[in-house]
Amino acid sequence: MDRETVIRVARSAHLELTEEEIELYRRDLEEILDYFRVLDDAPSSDDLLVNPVEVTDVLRSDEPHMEIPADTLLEDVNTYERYVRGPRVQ
Amino acid sequence: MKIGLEVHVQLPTRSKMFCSCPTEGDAEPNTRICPVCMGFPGSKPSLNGEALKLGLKLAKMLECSIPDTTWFSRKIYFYPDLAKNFQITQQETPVGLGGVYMLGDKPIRITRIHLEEDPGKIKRTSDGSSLIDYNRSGIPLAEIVTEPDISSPAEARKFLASLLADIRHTIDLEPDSERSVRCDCNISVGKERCEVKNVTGLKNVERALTFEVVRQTKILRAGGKIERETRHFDEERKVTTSARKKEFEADYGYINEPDLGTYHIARMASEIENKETPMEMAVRFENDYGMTAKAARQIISTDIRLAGFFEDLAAATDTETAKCLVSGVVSSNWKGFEPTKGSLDDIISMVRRFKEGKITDVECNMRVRCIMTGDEDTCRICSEDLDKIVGRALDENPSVIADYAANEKAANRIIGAVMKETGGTYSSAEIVSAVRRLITERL
Ligand SMILES: [Zn+2]
Repeated sequence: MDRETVIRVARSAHLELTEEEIELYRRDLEEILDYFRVLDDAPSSDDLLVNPVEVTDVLRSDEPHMEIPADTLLEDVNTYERYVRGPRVQ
Repeated sequence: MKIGLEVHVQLPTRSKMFCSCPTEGDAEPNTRICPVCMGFPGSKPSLNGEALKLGLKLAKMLECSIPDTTWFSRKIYFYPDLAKNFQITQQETPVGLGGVYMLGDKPIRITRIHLEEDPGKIKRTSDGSSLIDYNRSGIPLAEIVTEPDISSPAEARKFLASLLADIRHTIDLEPDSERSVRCDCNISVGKERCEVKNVTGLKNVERALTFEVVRQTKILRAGGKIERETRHFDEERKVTTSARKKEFEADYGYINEPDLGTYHIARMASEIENKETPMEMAVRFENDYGMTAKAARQIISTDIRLAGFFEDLAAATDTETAKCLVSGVVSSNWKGFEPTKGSLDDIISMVRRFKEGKITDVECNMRVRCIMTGDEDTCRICSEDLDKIVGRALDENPSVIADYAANEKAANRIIGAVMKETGGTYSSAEIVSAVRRLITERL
């Protein structure tokens, strides 16, 4: 993997990397991708690669329903007046 | 000048697109949420059949071709309005491709219509951090993309108003829903185009585009070059500003959504019976009512509800009377009029009275205008007539005045007589208040 790709991936993920980190992740990412090379030998298929198991026309009916109370979901979330606190944005 | 729009319309389902959270209810933030629309690990989406059906209805309305099979994609981006860090949308197989929308005589080509989930709402705090409400996250959206066939900001507004009226008609959208319509506007005065993102409402679309026309024209006249970029519209200052490039850098890394399957939509679409499209309606108006193509389109493109009203009026009176009234006083006062069943019925009964010879055409037109505009001067002249009728009834029954002093119920005799005479021209409230006022004056 080349430097430019690492920088582009980092930018898409909103990460700022130092020179050392770029080099570090360049090697790490390359190693990770190498693991996947094994898939190159797997038999290929012309089918749509949407879902490995064919699932067709499964639809839900339009019935509103809440299984878990919203308050329970917010218990472990950092909130302010019920709003979820997020990062700084432009 | 070339303008193309990307129109986002929230689809009126009861539950969200990929989870069962209700789409309406408590306005408090984060009250309609679940692990799916909050992007909790391990949660999986399941598609709301109604959202797909509504999308197909719109695809058919726009005369798009519908692919045999569709599936969804993940559009990956990192912004807190989407908790999963991706938006489920349609990339390769939109529900509709290559349609057309007739704006009067002018065809506006439709590139595509696809379905996607709405992100949550972000509030920025004074220190620059974000507060997010995920109630909106996962509401189904249809995105309609046009070719750059629109030639002015005013035409863009006209197109949107007309398109929305037809969408409302086709999928039974609430009348006030244009506030929730958001547009990305692409505009080029010269060769290069700019995109103004996320403009809300028809007025703002026209304003944002007008600002861009002026801005781009100035640059070109000064011999400058338009830079291809994404811009924001500032609703308060009514200007567009350059968005920081970083924020919208497109590197979405689309992948197919593996948590959802594929859907045979051509088959589904063939089972959907859409309401008559405006164009089909225009042809029928020509055949059934002997209208010219131009007159038919004029009525229908003004408002599909006006066309519906014309048919009701023609059925209640006759074709010629309905044509005359609708193309005249009704059309000219339609803008700004919010039709309700009650007000439309009032107009019909007024026209009936004209047809029966009880009122003149001048009077009929004036009263229709009063119903439609509530214009004070017009209504006062109309109610002056009511005063005359009540006055005459009192002249004929002078004993009522004395009886009324003893018992207010005596007024009912006059009220009943006036109601019978005017036969629905005035509301009972109007008559009651006029009778009481005139009796009191004579006491
Ligand atoms: Zn949910």
